[in-house]
Amino acid sequence: MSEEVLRVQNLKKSFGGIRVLEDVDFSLRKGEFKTIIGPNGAGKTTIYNIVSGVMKPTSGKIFCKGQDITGLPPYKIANLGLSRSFQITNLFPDLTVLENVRIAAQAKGKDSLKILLDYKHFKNYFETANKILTMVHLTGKEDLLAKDLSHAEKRKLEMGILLAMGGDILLFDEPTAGLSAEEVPELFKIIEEIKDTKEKSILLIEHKINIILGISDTIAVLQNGVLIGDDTPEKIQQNQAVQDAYFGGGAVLG
Amino acid sequence: MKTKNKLVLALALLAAVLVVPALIGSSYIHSIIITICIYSIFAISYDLLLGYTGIVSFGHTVYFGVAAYVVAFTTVKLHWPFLAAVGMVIVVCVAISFIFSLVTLRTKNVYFSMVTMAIGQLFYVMSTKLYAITGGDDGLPGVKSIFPNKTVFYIAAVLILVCVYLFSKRLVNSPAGRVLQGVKENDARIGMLGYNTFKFKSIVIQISGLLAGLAGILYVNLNGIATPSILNSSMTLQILFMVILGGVGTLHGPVIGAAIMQIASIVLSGFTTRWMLIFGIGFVVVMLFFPKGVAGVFDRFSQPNQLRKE
Repeated sequence: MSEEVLRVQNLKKSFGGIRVLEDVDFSLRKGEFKTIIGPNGAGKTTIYNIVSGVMKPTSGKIFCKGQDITGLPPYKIANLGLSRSFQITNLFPDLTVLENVRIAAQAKGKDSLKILLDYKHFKNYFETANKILTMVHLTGKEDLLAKDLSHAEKRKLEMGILLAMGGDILLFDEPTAGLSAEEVPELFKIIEEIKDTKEKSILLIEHKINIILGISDTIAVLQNGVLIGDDTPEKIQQNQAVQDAYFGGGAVLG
Repeated sequence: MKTKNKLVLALALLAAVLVVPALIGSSYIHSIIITICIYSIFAISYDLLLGYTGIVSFGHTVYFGVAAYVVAFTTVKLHWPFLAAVGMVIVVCVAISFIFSLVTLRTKNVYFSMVTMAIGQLFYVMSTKLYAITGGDDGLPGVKSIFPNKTVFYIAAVLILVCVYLFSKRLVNSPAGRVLQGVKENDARIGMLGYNTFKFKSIVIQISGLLAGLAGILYVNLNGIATPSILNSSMTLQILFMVILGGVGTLHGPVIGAAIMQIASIVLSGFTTRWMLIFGIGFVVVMLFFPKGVAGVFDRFSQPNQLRKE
Protein backbone atom coordinates (compact mmCIF):
# COMPACT_ATOMS: atom_id res chain seq x y z
CA MET A 1 0.00 0.00 0.00
CA SER A 2 1.16 3.50 -0.72
CA GLU A 3 2.04 6.00 1.98
CA GLU A 4 -0.44 8.13 3.91
CA VAL A 5 -0.59 11.73 2.72
CA LEU A 6 -3.27 12.80 5.16
CA ARG A 7 -4.14 11.37 8.54
CA VAL A 8 -7.02 12.50 10.71
CA GLN A 9 -6.47 11.18 14.22
CA ASN A 10 -9.13 10.95 16.96
CA LEU A 11 -10.65 14.21 15.84
CA LYS A 12 -13.17 15.78 18.22
CA LYS A 13 -15.00 19.03 17.80
CA SER A 14 -17.68 20.66 19.92
CA PHE A 15 -19.41 23.97 19.43
CA GLY A 16 -20.37 24.91 22.96
CA GLY A 17 -22.28 21.90 24.26
CA ILE A 18 -22.95 20.43 20.85
CA ARG A 19 -20.61 17.63 19.80
CA VAL A 20 -20.11 17.77 16.07
CA LEU A 21 -17.29 15.28 15.63
CA GLU A 22 -16.68 12.27 17.83
CA ASP A 23 -13.32 10.51 17.53
CA VAL A 24 -13.15 10.68 13.76
CA ASP A 25 -10.19 8.69 12.53
CA PHE A 26 -9.22 7.99 8.91
CA SER A 27 -6.42 8.43 6.47
CA LEU A 28 -5.94 9.19 2.81
CA ARG A 29 -3.22 7.36 0.91
CA LYS A 30 -1.23 8.65 -2.00
CA GLY A 31 -3.29 8.42 -5.18
CA GLU A 32 -6.41 7.36 -3.29
CA PHE A 33 -9.87 8.65 -4.11
CA LYS A 34 -11.96 8.71 -0.96
CA THR A 35 -15.50 10.02 -0.72
CA ILE A 36 -17.10 11.09 2.54
CA ILE A 37 -20.84 10.67 2.61
CA GLY A 38 -23.34 11.39 5.33
CA PRO A 39 -26.57 13.25 5.91
CA ASN A 40 -26.63 17.03 6.28
CA GLY A 41 -25.18 18.08 9.59
CA ALA A 42 -23.10 14.93 9.97
CA GLY A 43 -19.94 17.03 10.27
CA LYS A 44 -18.38 16.56 6.82
CA THR A 45 -17.59 20.17 6.15
CA THR A 46 -16.38 20.59 9.73
CA ILE A 47 -13.71 17.97 9.01
CA TYR A 48 -12.63 20.02 5.99
CA ASN A 49 -12.62 23.21 8.02
CA ILE A 50 -10.32 21.64 10.59
CA VAL A 51 -8.06 19.94 8.06
CA SER A 52 -7.64 23.16 6.07
CA GLY A 53 -6.97 25.25 9.17
CA VAL A 54 -10.15 27.35 9.21
CA MET A 55 -11.15 25.87 12.59
CA LYS A 56 -9.22 24.39 15.46
CA PRO A 57 -10.23 20.95 16.74
CA THR A 58 -11.36 20.46 20.34
CA SER A 59 -8.94 17.55 20.43
CA GLY A 60 -7.22 15.23 18.01
CA LYS A 61 -4.52 15.70 15.41
CA ILE A 62 -4.13 16.15 11.68
CA PHE A 63 -1.02 15.01 9.84
CA CYS A 64 -0.18 16.00 6.29
CA LYS A 65 2.64 14.01 4.70
CA GLY A 66 3.83 13.03 8.14
CA GLN A 67 3.86 16.58 9.50
CA ASP A 68 1.56 17.64 12.32
CA ILE A 69 -0.54 20.46 10.88
CA THR A 70 -3.09 20.73 13.70
CA GLY A 71 -3.91 24.38 14.31
CA LEU A 72 -1.62 25.78 11.61
CA PRO A 73 -2.99 28.85 9.76
CA PRO A 74 -4.74 28.05 6.43
CA TYR A 75 -2.01 29.54 4.24
CA LYS A 76 0.67 27.27 5.70
CA ILE A 77 -1.48 24.19 5.15
CA ALA A 78 -2.22 25.30 1.59
CA ASN A 79 1.50 25.69 0.97
CA LEU A 80 2.06 22.06 2.00
CA GLY A 81 0.09 21.05 -1.09
CA LEU A 82 -3.35 20.68 0.43
CA SER A 83 -5.97 22.50 -1.65
CA ARG A 84 -9.65 22.67 -0.83
CA SER A 85 -12.77 23.93 -2.53
CA PHE A 86 -15.95 25.21 -0.93
CA GLN A 87 -19.50 23.98 -0.88
CA ILE A 88 -20.76 27.54 -0.85
CA THR A 89 -19.13 29.20 -3.81
CA ASN A 90 -16.23 31.27 -2.57
CA LEU A 91 -14.74 33.27 -5.43
CA PHE A 92 -13.31 36.73 -6.07
CA PRO A 93 -16.55 38.19 -7.47
CA ASP A 94 -15.20 41.41 -8.99
CA LEU A 95 -12.14 39.88 -10.59
CA THR A 96 -12.22 38.28 -14.02
CA VAL A 97 -12.48 34.52 -14.43
CA LEU A 98 -8.89 34.43 -15.67
CA GLU A 99 -7.64 36.49 -12.72
CA ASN A 100 -9.46 34.24 -10.24
CA VAL A 101 -7.44 31.29 -11.49
CA ARG A 102 -4.24 33.24 -12.17
CA ILE A 103 -4.04 34.56 -8.62
CA ALA A 104 -4.38 30.99 -7.36
CA ALA A 105 -1.58 29.88 -9.67
CA GLN A 106 0.59 32.79 -8.52
CA ALA A 107 0.25 31.58 -4.92
CA LYS A 108 2.37 28.58 -5.78
CA GLY A 109 5.17 30.64 -7.31
CA LYS A 110 7.76 32.82 -5.64
CA ASP A 111 6.95 36.14 -7.28
CA SER A 112 4.13 37.36 -5.07
CA LEU A 113 6.25 39.74 -3.00
CA LYS A 114 7.57 41.61 -6.03
CA ILE A 115 6.12 45.09 -5.87
CA LEU A 116 7.98 46.88 -8.65
CA LEU A 117 7.28 44.63 -11.64
CA ASP A 118 4.10 44.43 -13.69
CA TYR A 119 2.17 41.25 -13.00
CA LYS A 120 1.60 40.81 -16.74
CA HIS A 121 5.34 40.24 -16.99
CA PHE A 122 4.94 36.83 -15.31
CA LYS A 123 3.52 34.93 -18.27
CA ASN A 124 3.80 31.49 -16.70
CA TYR A 125 0.84 32.13 -14.38
CA PHE A 126 -1.30 33.19 -17.32
CA GLU A 127 -0.33 30.00 -19.15
CA THR A 128 -1.20 27.82 -16.16
CA ALA A 129 -4.48 29.68 -15.74
CA ASN A 130 -5.47 29.29 -19.38
CA LYS A 131 -4.59 25.59 -19.33
CA ILE A 132 -6.79 25.08 -16.27
CA LEU A 133 -9.68 27.08 -17.71
CA THR A 134 -9.61 24.67 -20.66
CA MET A 135 -9.66 21.74 -18.25
CA VAL A 136 -12.73 23.04 -16.42
CA HIS A 137 -14.49 23.98 -19.68
CA LEU A 138 -14.46 27.73 -19.15
CA THR A 139 -12.62 28.70 -22.33
CA GLY A 140 -14.10 31.84 -23.81
CA LYS A 141 -15.24 33.16 -20.44
CA GLU A 142 -11.82 34.48 -19.35
CA ASP A 143 -12.73 38.15 -19.40
CA LEU A 144 -16.08 37.90 -17.64
CA LEU A 145 -16.30 38.92 -14.02
CA ALA A 146 -16.72 35.94 -11.72
CA LYS A 147 -19.96 37.37 -10.33
CA ASP A 148 -21.50 37.39 -13.82
CA LEU A 149 -21.13 33.63 -14.33
CA SER A 150 -24.01 31.17 -14.07
CA HIS A 151 -24.11 28.98 -10.99
CA ALA A 152 -22.76 25.96 -12.88
CA GLU A 153 -19.91 28.05 -14.28
CA LYS A 154 -19.12 29.33 -10.81
CA ARG A 155 -18.82 25.73 -9.61
CA LYS A 156 -16.41 25.06 -12.46
CA LEU A 157 -14.41 28.16 -11.60
CA GLU A 158 -14.30 27.05 -7.98
CA MET A 159 -12.76 23.83 -9.23
CA GLY A 160 -10.39 25.75 -11.47
CA ILE A 161 -9.10 27.76 -8.51
CA LEU A 162 -8.54 24.53 -6.60
CA LEU A 163 -6.56 23.03 -9.48
CA ALA A 164 -4.55 26.20 -10.04
CA MET A 165 -3.32 26.04 -6.46
CA GLY A 166 -1.37 23.04 -7.66
CA GLY A 167 -1.64 20.97 -4.50
CA ASP A 168 -1.31 17.19 -4.67
CA ILE A 169 -4.04 16.62 -2.06
CA LEU A 170 -7.40 17.90 -3.24
CA LEU A 171 -10.41 18.35 -1.00
CA PHE A 172 -13.64 18.82 -2.93
CA ASP A 173 -16.62 19.98 -0.91
CA GLU A 174 -19.79 19.08 -2.82
CA PRO A 175 -18.63 20.35 -6.20
CA THR A 176 -22.09 19.73 -7.65
CA ALA A 177 -24.02 21.53 -4.90
CA GLY A 178 -27.01 23.33 -6.35
CA LEU A 179 -26.52 22.00 -9.88
CA SER A 180 -29.32 20.58 -12.01
CA ALA A 181 -29.27 16.89 -12.97
CA GLU A 182 -28.05 17.77 -16.48
CA GLU A 183 -25.12 19.79 -15.17
CA VAL A 184 -23.79 17.20 -12.73
CA PRO A 185 -22.14 14.78 -15.23
CA GLU A 186 -19.95 17.52 -16.72
CA LEU A 187 -18.49 18.34 -13.30
CA PHE A 188 -17.88 14.69 -12.54
CA LYS A 189 -16.21 14.22 -15.90
CA ILE A 190 -13.70 16.87 -14.85
CA ILE A 191 -13.13 15.13 -11.53
CA GLU A 192 -12.64 11.80 -13.31
CA GLU A 193 -10.09 13.39 -15.63
CA ILE A 194 -8.19 14.65 -12.61
CA LYS A 195 -8.36 11.19 -11.04
CA ASP A 196 -7.09 9.56 -14.23
CA THR A 197 -3.88 11.60 -14.13
CA LYS A 198 -3.08 9.55 -11.00
CA GLU A 199 -1.11 12.51 -9.66
CA LYS A 200 -3.51 13.60 -6.95
CA SER A 201 -4.90 12.18 -3.76
CA ILE A 202 -8.52 13.19 -3.57
CA LEU A 203 -11.04 13.60 -0.79
CA LEU A 204 -14.59 14.29 -1.93
CA ILE A 205 -17.76 15.20 -0.08
CA GLU A 206 -20.77 14.30 -2.18
CA HIS A 207 -24.38 13.14 -1.95
CA LYS A 208 -24.85 11.62 -5.40
CA ILE A 209 -24.45 7.99 -4.34
CA ASN A 210 -24.83 6.34 -7.74
CA ILE A 211 -21.96 8.38 -9.19
CA ILE A 212 -19.53 8.06 -6.29
CA LEU A 213 -19.89 4.29 -6.05
CA GLY A 214 -18.23 4.09 -9.45
CA ILE A 215 -15.54 6.69 -8.98
CA SER A 216 -14.33 6.14 -5.40
CA ASP A 217 -11.58 3.83 -4.19
CA THR A 218 -12.97 4.06 -0.68
CA ILE A 219 -16.04 5.56 0.94
CA ALA A 220 -16.23 6.89 4.48
CA VAL A 221 -19.65 7.22 6.06
CA LEU A 222 -20.23 9.85 8.69
CA GLN A 223 -23.33 10.06 10.83
CA ASN A 224 -23.91 12.48 13.69
CA GLY A 225 -20.19 13.10 13.90
CA VAL A 226 -19.27 9.43 14.12
CA LEU A 227 -17.47 7.55 11.37
CA ILE A 228 -19.58 4.40 11.00
CA GLY A 229 -17.74 2.92 8.05
CA ASP A 230 -14.64 3.42 5.89
CA ASP A 231 -14.08 0.81 3.21
CA THR A 232 -14.30 -0.03 -0.48
CA PRO A 233 -17.62 0.78 -2.17
CA GLU A 234 -18.59 -2.91 -2.31
CA LYS A 235 -18.01 -3.52 1.37
CA ILE A 236 -19.65 -0.26 2.37
CA GLN A 237 -22.82 -1.29 0.58
CA GLN A 238 -22.87 -4.54 2.56
CA ASN A 239 -22.11 -2.88 5.89
CA GLN A 240 -25.22 -3.27 8.06
CA ALA A 241 -24.63 -0.14 10.15
CA VAL A 242 -24.25 1.94 7.04
CA GLN A 243 -27.31 0.46 5.42
CA ASP A 244 -29.40 1.19 8.47
CA ALA A 245 -28.12 4.69 8.90
CA TYR A 246 -27.68 6.05 5.46
CA PHE A 247 -28.90 3.88 2.64
CA GLY A 248 -32.29 3.38 4.25
CA GLY A 249 -32.25 -0.34 3.49
CA GLY A 250 -30.82 0.13 0.01
CA ALA A 251 -33.75 2.09 -1.36
CA VAL A 252 -31.63 4.90 -2.79
CA LEU A 253 -28.96 2.65 -4.22
CA GLY A 254 -30.58 2.77 -7.65
CA MET B 1 -7.55 56.74 -25.76
CA LYS B 2 -4.46 54.89 -26.88
CA THR B 3 -1.64 54.43 -24.45
CA LYS B 4 0.70 56.54 -26.56
CA ASN B 5 -1.75 59.43 -26.78
CA LYS B 6 -2.32 59.18 -23.06
CA LEU B 7 1.41 59.39 -22.39
CA VAL B 8 1.79 62.45 -24.60
CA LEU B 9 -1.19 64.08 -22.92
CA ALA B 10 0.18 63.29 -19.45
CA LEU B 11 3.61 64.71 -20.30
CA ALA B 12 2.06 67.86 -21.81
CA LEU B 13 -0.05 68.30 -18.70
CA LEU B 14 2.95 67.84 -16.45
CA ALA B 15 4.97 70.36 -18.47
CA ALA B 16 2.12 72.86 -18.28
CA VAL B 17 1.68 72.38 -14.55
CA LEU B 18 5.43 72.81 -14.01
CA VAL B 19 6.12 75.70 -16.36
CA VAL B 20 3.08 77.97 -16.32
CA PRO B 21 2.83 78.77 -12.60
CA ALA B 22 6.62 78.91 -12.36
CA LEU B 23 6.44 81.76 -14.85
CA ILE B 24 3.57 83.53 -13.10
CA GLY B 25 5.51 83.52 -9.87
CA SER B 26 2.64 84.24 -7.50
CA SER B 27 3.52 82.82 -4.12
CA TYR B 28 -0.18 82.49 -3.26
CA ILE B 29 -0.96 80.33 -6.31
CA HIS B 30 2.14 78.28 -5.60
CA SER B 31 1.03 77.60 -2.05
CA ILE B 32 -2.37 76.42 -3.25
CA ILE B 33 -0.87 73.99 -5.75
CA ILE B 34 1.71 72.75 -3.23
CA THR B 35 -1.14 72.11 -0.80
CA ILE B 36 -3.02 70.21 -3.49
CA CYS B 37 0.09 68.11 -4.16
CA ILE B 38 0.51 67.35 -0.45
CA TYR B 39 -3.11 66.28 -0.03
CA SER B 40 -2.89 64.29 -3.27
CA ILE B 41 0.05 62.27 -1.93
CA PHE B 42 -1.82 61.80 1.33
CA ALA B 43 -5.00 60.74 -0.51
CA ILE B 44 -3.12 58.35 -2.83
CA SER B 45 -1.61 56.69 0.23
CA TYR B 46 -5.13 56.31 1.62
CA ASP B 47 -6.44 54.91 -1.67
CA LEU B 48 -3.84 52.13 -1.53
CA LEU B 49 -5.58 50.92 1.62
CA LEU B 50 -9.19 51.81 0.84
CA GLY B 51 -9.37 51.18 -2.88
CA TYR B 52 -6.80 48.48 -3.42
CA THR B 53 -6.81 46.42 -0.22
CA GLY B 54 -10.23 47.12 1.24
CA ILE B 55 -8.83 48.39 4.53
CA VAL B 56 -10.82 51.30 6.01
CA SER B 57 -8.59 53.05 8.51
CA PHE B 58 -9.90 56.02 10.46
CA GLY B 59 -6.50 56.67 11.97
CA HIS B 60 -4.57 57.32 8.79
CA THR B 61 -3.73 60.90 9.67
CA VAL B 62 -1.52 59.64 12.52
CA TYR B 63 1.34 59.17 10.04
CA PHE B 64 0.77 62.59 8.52
CA GLY B 65 0.52 64.41 11.81
CA VAL B 66 3.27 62.56 13.62
CA ALA B 67 5.62 63.09 10.67
CA ALA B 68 4.95 66.83 10.86
CA TYR B 69 5.48 66.85 14.62
CA VAL B 70 8.67 64.79 14.40
CA VAL B 71 10.17 67.19 11.87
CA ALA B 72 9.08 70.20 13.94
CA PHE B 73 10.36 68.79 17.23
CA THR B 74 13.70 67.47 15.98
CA THR B 75 14.63 70.46 13.82
CA VAL B 76 13.30 73.26 16.04
CA LYS B 77 13.85 71.93 19.55
CA LEU B 78 16.76 69.53 19.00
CA HIS B 79 18.34 71.42 16.09
CA TRP B 80 18.78 68.25 14.08
CA PRO B 81 19.58 68.56 10.39
CA PHE B 82 16.59 68.01 8.11
CA LEU B 83 17.78 64.64 6.77
CA ALA B 84 18.13 63.26 10.30
CA ALA B 85 14.56 64.37 10.94
CA VAL B 86 13.43 62.53 7.82
CA GLY B 87 15.23 59.41 9.07
CA MET B 88 13.39 59.73 12.35
CA VAL B 89 10.05 60.10 10.50
CA ILE B 90 10.75 56.85 8.66
CA VAL B 91 11.50 55.02 11.91
CA VAL B 92 8.39 56.37 13.62
CA CYS B 93 6.08 55.70 10.64
CA VAL B 94 7.35 52.13 10.34
CA ALA B 95 6.68 51.61 14.05
CA ILE B 96 3.15 53.05 13.81
CA SER B 97 2.32 50.98 10.74
CA PHE B 98 3.43 47.92 12.65
CA ILE B 99 0.85 48.73 15.32
CA PHE B 100 -1.87 49.17 12.69
CA SER B 101 -0.81 45.89 11.04
CA LEU B 102 -1.20 44.07 14.34
CA VAL B 103 -4.72 45.46 14.63
CA THR B 104 -5.65 43.82 11.30
CA LEU B 105 -4.77 40.45 12.82
CA ARG B 106 -7.53 40.75 15.39
CA THR B 107 -10.20 42.92 13.82
CA LYS B 108 -11.84 43.41 10.46
CA ASN B 109 -14.10 45.89 8.70
CA VAL B 110 -15.97 48.27 11.00
CA TYR B 111 -14.14 46.99 14.07
CA PHE B 112 -10.80 47.71 12.46
CA SER B 113 -12.02 51.21 11.59
CA MET B 114 -13.12 51.83 15.17
CA VAL B 115 -9.85 50.63 16.71
CA THR B 116 -7.81 52.72 14.28
CA MET B 117 -9.96 55.74 15.09
CA ALA B 118 -9.24 55.17 18.78
CA ILE B 119 -5.51 54.99 18.09
CA GLY B 120 -5.79 58.15 16.00
CA GLN B 121 -7.61 60.05 18.74
CA LEU B 122 -5.01 58.84 21.25
CA PHE B 123 -2.31 60.58 19.23
CA TYR B 124 -4.53 63.65 18.91
CA VAL B 125 -5.06 63.87 22.66
CA MET B 126 -1.34 63.35 23.26
CA SER B 127 -0.56 66.26 20.93
CA THR B 128 -2.79 68.57 22.98
CA LYS B 129 -1.65 67.35 26.40
CA LEU B 130 2.08 66.63 26.13
CA TYR B 131 2.86 70.30 26.30
CA ALA B 132 6.61 69.90 26.78
CA ILE B 133 7.04 68.00 23.54
CA THR B 134 4.18 69.16 21.31
CA GLY B 135 3.49 72.63 22.57
CA GLY B 136 -0.11 71.69 23.33
CA ASP B 137 -2.85 73.52 21.46
CA ASP B 138 -0.38 76.16 20.30
CA GLY B 139 1.46 73.55 18.24
CA LEU B 140 5.13 73.59 17.32
CA PRO B 141 5.94 76.65 15.22
CA GLY B 142 9.19 77.82 13.69
CA VAL B 143 9.95 75.08 11.18
CA LYS B 144 12.12 76.45 8.40
CA SER B 145 11.39 75.22 4.89
CA ILE B 146 14.23 73.35 3.25
CA PHE B 147 13.22 74.86 -0.07
CA PRO B 148 14.85 78.23 -0.82
CA ASN B 149 11.64 79.67 -2.30
CA LYS B 150 8.07 78.79 -3.23
CA THR B 151 8.87 78.19 -6.90
CA VAL B 152 11.43 75.50 -6.07
CA PHE B 153 9.10 74.01 -3.49
CA TYR B 154 6.33 74.03 -6.03
CA ILE B 155 8.34 72.19 -8.68
CA ALA B 156 9.62 69.70 -6.10
CA ALA B 157 6.09 69.03 -4.81
CA VAL B 158 4.75 68.34 -8.29
CA LEU B 159 7.65 66.02 -9.11
CA ILE B 160 7.32 64.16 -5.80
CA LEU B 161 3.60 63.72 -6.46
CA VAL B 162 4.34 62.32 -9.93
CA CYS B 163 6.87 59.87 -8.43
CA VAL B 164 4.42 58.78 -5.71
CA TYR B 165 1.70 58.30 -8.33
CA LEU B 166 3.92 56.24 -10.64
CA PHE B 167 5.22 54.15 -7.76
CA SER B 168 1.70 53.46 -6.51
CA LYS B 169 0.52 52.60 -10.02
CA ARG B 170 3.37 50.10 -10.28
CA LEU B 171 2.61 48.67 -6.88
CA VAL B 172 -1.08 48.01 -7.57
CA ASN B 173 -0.25 46.32 -10.87
CA SER B 174 2.52 44.16 -9.42
CA PRO B 175 2.07 40.52 -8.39
CA ALA B 176 1.81 41.76 -4.79
CA GLY B 177 -0.77 44.36 -5.86
CA ARG B 178 -2.90 41.64 -7.40
CA VAL B 179 -2.79 39.72 -4.14
CA LEU B 180 -3.96 42.87 -2.33
CA GLN B 181 -6.85 43.13 -4.78
CA GLY B 182 -7.67 39.55 -3.84
CA VAL B 183 -7.54 40.48 -0.16
CA LYS B 184 -10.05 43.23 -0.86
CA GLU B 185 -12.35 40.84 -2.73
CA ASN B 186 -12.16 37.84 -0.45
CA ASP B 187 -9.72 38.00 2.42
CA ALA B 188 -10.39 34.47 3.73
CA ARG B 189 -10.07 32.79 0.37
CA ILE B 190 -6.78 34.51 -0.43
CA GLY B 191 -5.43 32.91 2.74
CA MET B 192 -6.75 29.53 1.69
CA LEU B 193 -4.81 29.88 -1.56
CA GLY B 194 -1.59 29.93 0.43
CA TYR B 195 -0.97 33.66 0.81
CA ASN B 196 -0.01 34.98 4.21
CA THR B 197 -2.55 37.80 4.27
CA PHE B 198 -0.96 39.41 7.31
CA LYS B 199 2.31 39.81 5.44
CA PHE B 200 0.65 41.42 2.45
CA LYS B 201 -1.51 43.73 4.56
CA SER B 202 1.54 44.74 6.60
CA ILE B 203 3.47 45.61 3.45
CA VAL B 204 0.75 47.88 2.07
CA ILE B 205 0.09 49.48 5.47
CA GLN B 206 3.80 50.14 5.74
CA ILE B 207 4.07 51.70 2.27
CA SER B 208 0.90 53.69 2.74
CA GLY B 209 2.11 54.95 6.13
CA LEU B 210 5.45 56.07 4.72
CA LEU B 211 3.75 57.94 1.87
CA ALA B 212 1.41 59.68 4.33
CA GLY B 213 4.48 60.54 6.39
CA LEU B 214 6.09 62.04 3.30
CA ALA B 215 3.01 64.22 2.85
CA GLY B 216 3.33 65.27 6.49
CA ILE B 217 6.98 66.28 5.99
CA LEU B 218 6.02 68.46 3.02
CA TYR B 219 3.09 69.93 4.98
CA VAL B 220 5.24 71.13 7.85
CA ASN B 221 7.72 72.57 5.37
CA LEU B 222 4.97 74.56 3.73
CA ASN B 223 3.17 75.78 6.84
CA GLY B 224 6.10 76.01 9.23
CA ILE B 225 4.01 74.67 12.10
CA ALA B 226 2.58 71.40 13.39
CA THR B 227 -0.75 71.74 15.21
CA PRO B 228 -3.11 69.19 16.83
CA SER B 229 -5.69 69.77 14.06
CA ILE B 230 -3.65 67.66 11.63
CA LEU B 231 -3.87 64.72 14.04
CA ASN B 232 -7.62 65.01 14.53
CA SER B 233 -9.76 62.28 13.01
CA SER B 234 -11.58 64.95 11.00
CA MET B 235 -8.36 65.16 8.99
CA THR B 236 -8.67 61.47 8.10
CA LEU B 237 -12.30 62.07 7.13
CA GLN B 238 -11.24 64.92 4.83
CA ILE B 239 -8.83 62.57 3.09
CA LEU B 240 -11.55 59.93 2.89
CA PHE B 241 -13.80 62.54 1.25
CA MET B 242 -11.13 63.40 -1.28
CA VAL B 243 -10.63 59.75 -2.24
CA ILE B 244 -14.35 59.01 -2.54
CA LEU B 245 -15.10 62.26 -4.33
CA GLY B 246 -12.31 61.68 -6.84
CA GLY B 247 -12.88 57.96 -7.26
CA VAL B 248 -11.90 55.07 -5.02
CA GLY B 249 -9.41 52.62 -6.42
CA THR B 250 -8.17 54.78 -9.28
CA LEU B 251 -5.07 56.59 -7.92
CA HIS B 252 -5.73 59.60 -10.19
CA GLY B 253 -9.12 60.02 -8.50
CA PRO B 254 -7.57 61.04 -5.18
CA VAL B 255 -5.56 63.74 -6.99
CA ILE B 256 -8.73 65.08 -8.59
CA GLY B 257 -10.53 64.88 -5.25
CA ALA B 258 -7.75 66.74 -3.45
CA ALA B 259 -7.75 69.48 -6.09
CA ILE B 260 -11.55 69.88 -6.05
CA MET B 261 -11.70 70.01 -2.29
CA GLN B 262 -8.87 72.50 -2.00
CA ILE B 263 -10.24 74.80 -4.69
CA ALA B 264 -13.80 74.44 -3.39
CA SER B 265 -12.71 75.44 0.09
CA ILE B 266 -11.07 78.59 -1.26
CA VAL B 267 -13.93 79.53 -3.60
CA LEU B 268 -16.82 78.61 -1.30
CA SER B 269 -15.30 80.12 1.82
CA GLY B 270 -15.36 83.43 -0.08
CA PHE B 271 -19.17 83.28 0.07
CA THR B 272 -19.77 81.86 3.49
CA THR B 273 -17.88 80.56 6.50
CA ARG B 274 -20.27 77.56 6.45
CA TRP B 275 -18.78 76.36 3.18
CA MET B 276 -18.56 72.79 4.45
CA LEU B 277 -22.37 72.76 4.34
CA ILE B 278 -22.42 73.43 0.59
CA PHE B 279 -19.61 70.99 0.12
CA GLY B 280 -21.47 68.33 2.11
CA ILE B 281 -24.51 68.58 -0.17
CA GLY B 282 -22.24 68.26 -3.19
CA PHE B 283 -20.66 65.23 -1.63
CA VAL B 284 -24.01 63.52 -1.11
CA VAL B 285 -24.92 64.23 -4.75
CA VAL B 286 -21.68 62.65 -5.93
CA MET B 287 -22.25 59.60 -3.74
CA LEU B 288 -25.78 59.15 -5.06
CA PHE B 289 -25.25 59.71 -8.76
CA PHE B 290 -21.56 59.02 -9.36
CA PRO B 291 -20.55 56.22 -7.01
CA LYS B 292 -17.23 55.93 -8.81
CA GLY B 293 -16.46 59.57 -8.18
CA VAL B 294 -15.32 62.23 -10.61
CA ALA B 295 -12.71 59.90 -12.13
CA GLY B 296 -15.51 57.45 -12.90
CA VAL B 297 -17.37 60.15 -14.84
CA PHE B 298 -14.25 60.97 -16.89
CA ASP B 299 -13.68 57.30 -17.65
CA ARG B 300 -17.25 56.91 -18.83
CA PHE B 301 -16.76 59.70 -21.36
CA SER B 302 -13.30 58.72 -22.50
CA GLN B 303 -14.18 55.08 -23.20
CA PRO B 304 -17.95 54.94 -23.67
CA ASN B 305 -18.21 51.68 -25.60
CA GLN B 306 -15.59 49.63 -23.89
CA LEU B 307 -16.60 46.84 -21.57
CA ARG B 308 -15.11 47.07 -18.14
CA LYS B 309 -12.56 44.34 -17.88
CA GLU B 310 -10.70 44.61 -14.65
